[in-house]
Amino acid sequence: MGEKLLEVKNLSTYFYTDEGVVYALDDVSFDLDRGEALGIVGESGSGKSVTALSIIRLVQSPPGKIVAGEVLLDGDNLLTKSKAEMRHIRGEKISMIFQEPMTALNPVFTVGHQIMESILIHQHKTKKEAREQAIEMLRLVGIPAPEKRVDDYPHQMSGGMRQRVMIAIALCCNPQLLICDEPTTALDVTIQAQILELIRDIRERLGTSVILITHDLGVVAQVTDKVIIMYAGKVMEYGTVRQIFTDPLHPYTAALMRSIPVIGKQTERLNVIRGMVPSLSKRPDGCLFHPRCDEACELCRTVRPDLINLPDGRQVRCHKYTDKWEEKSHD
Amino acid sequence: MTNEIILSVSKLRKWFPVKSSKVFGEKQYVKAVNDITFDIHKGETLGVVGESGCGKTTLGRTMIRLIEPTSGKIVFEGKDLTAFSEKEMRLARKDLQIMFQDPYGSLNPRMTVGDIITEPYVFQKMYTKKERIEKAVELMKICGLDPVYIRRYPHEFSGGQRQRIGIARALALRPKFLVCDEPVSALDVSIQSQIINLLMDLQQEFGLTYLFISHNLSVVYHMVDRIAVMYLGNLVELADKEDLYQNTAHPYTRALLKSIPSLDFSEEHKLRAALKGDIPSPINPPSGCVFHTRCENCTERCRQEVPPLREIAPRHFTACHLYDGQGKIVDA
Repeated sequence: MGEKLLEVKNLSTYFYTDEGVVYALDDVSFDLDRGEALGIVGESGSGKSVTALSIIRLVQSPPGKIVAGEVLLDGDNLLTKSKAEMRHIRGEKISMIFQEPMTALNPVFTVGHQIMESILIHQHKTKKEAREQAIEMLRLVGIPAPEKRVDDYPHQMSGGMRQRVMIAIALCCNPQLLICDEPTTALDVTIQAQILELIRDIRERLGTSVILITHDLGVVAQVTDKVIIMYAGKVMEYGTVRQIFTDPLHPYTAALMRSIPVIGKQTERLNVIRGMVPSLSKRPDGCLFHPRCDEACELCRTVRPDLINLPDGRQVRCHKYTDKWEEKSHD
Repeated sequence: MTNEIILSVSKLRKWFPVKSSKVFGEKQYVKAVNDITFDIHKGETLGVVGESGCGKTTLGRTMIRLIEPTSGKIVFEGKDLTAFSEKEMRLARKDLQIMFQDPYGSLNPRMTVGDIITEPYVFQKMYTKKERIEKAVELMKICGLDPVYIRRYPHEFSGGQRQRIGIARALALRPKFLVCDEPVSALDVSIQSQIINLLMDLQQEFGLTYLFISHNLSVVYHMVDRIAVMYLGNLVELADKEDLYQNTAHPYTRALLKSIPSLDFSEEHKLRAALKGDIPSPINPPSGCVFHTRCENCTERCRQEVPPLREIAPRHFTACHLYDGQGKIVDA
């Protein structure tokens, strides 16, 4: 660990719609080391999925456009690659699994066929070898009797099994980076636990770096090392799981933690973050979170805060942690 | 919460027939709700948890006869609802309301908010037009919606606001019993807590009794007094909330609790898959105890004999052979 695999620098993706420009992703930067797992957490519309789609350049254009920034994979900028080059990178170096295991697989082909497709495109193998590898992949992701199940159609499998097949497809070219976009949201808790264990296991065995996108803080706490908290297209806070869960710095992160009911901790009322997530085309001035923040002051209403680097490696986008705030509170 | 029973179901069963491929083949059923017996006390919140396909939604709907039960009894305030005619049932529905999971699908997109909230009055032939609008304004205020939006359409609202509209509609007839079918699972975390608090406030204010259906055990823990755990159409455990979490009896409940990803990230709390395999099909559920295919304590007896629901401790019921001989059998 410690060797950088992915560097995202000042990435901005906007959507140009009839109602105006939607700032889906605004000046997002982060790093990912080899073998590391990063969680991206946010509510719907916070830009977490757009981050993933921008990295593998699958943002639908028009209306979407990556307007600025760099995505460096092993120091190589993906945003300057041609379409043909990208096709090789996707699947071979970066793979992605999606939320909907029901719709992400093609219903008219067997799962074996769909795994083989990816192998045949990226590797010089005969059909027979590819089929053998497909069976091997199914065994790796824990599907019982893979020699038989390889000829199943997706509808013959349950949701959890289909998500396992998706993971098998994503892993068959041994990518360096696996992006999981809400991999367990559509699954039941007992199946979710199985899939999360599988993702963790794969990371340990194959050394794959993982980006896990989710709205569930519990899932992140269980699987990843570091966390990014996103809100309205911006990174609000970044740090290790331990730092963020024991001592959240940003008022949004803190409020989010308090609004989740915890088993065993009886509280009369849940903390509420008032109001709603702002519209990404008509963003408020100043800090994007200030209309819902209990600690907001004049500074927050007018000046957009920068992402501040703290000495312990954490980052936070809040005026509270700048000198300006000190002056304020002394007034 | 009092000890007065507001609603009780006994041996409630809903089997959906499945089209058989053979003409003279044995008739097959999806056993969505299979002989379920329990009581709900006045003013309490009973949580129903389970994985998808366990029959929790069917149970909620059958209890207020939105779905006709196959057999069994539903007794509401001493009257047997299953014996009611259509007409009597419509009157009884004043007291029995439901709110739905999907804030997008459960509101008619071609009706204004005012029309949606006052529609129950139209069906029950209550109040004049003017009074209905006054009532709607009042309900919107209660549910935290600005009454100036009364003429707007559902698509102009966010998910959380739509769920508030759904609550206002359910409350319009001042029901005594409200079925909340996954009311917060489609909402973001920060909005979810707003709706949970609203539901709890309303319960206090109007003395409501809730049946709270959810797959999110943390939300259920926060909301409810007692919890019923369902698996494949069967009630496997029913107990007071704290009792259920601390003295978990049924192996399935234990596995379910272990599967929740907790915010505790220390090594000993690392999530491990507690259950292997998938939920069996409810069309041909396993013989004996329905959970035996995934149970780590499974014995020969579990494969053959259906465990009855027993009261293994005061107010703590479970259906499992592990507790054979303890407590009295409730639904022999």
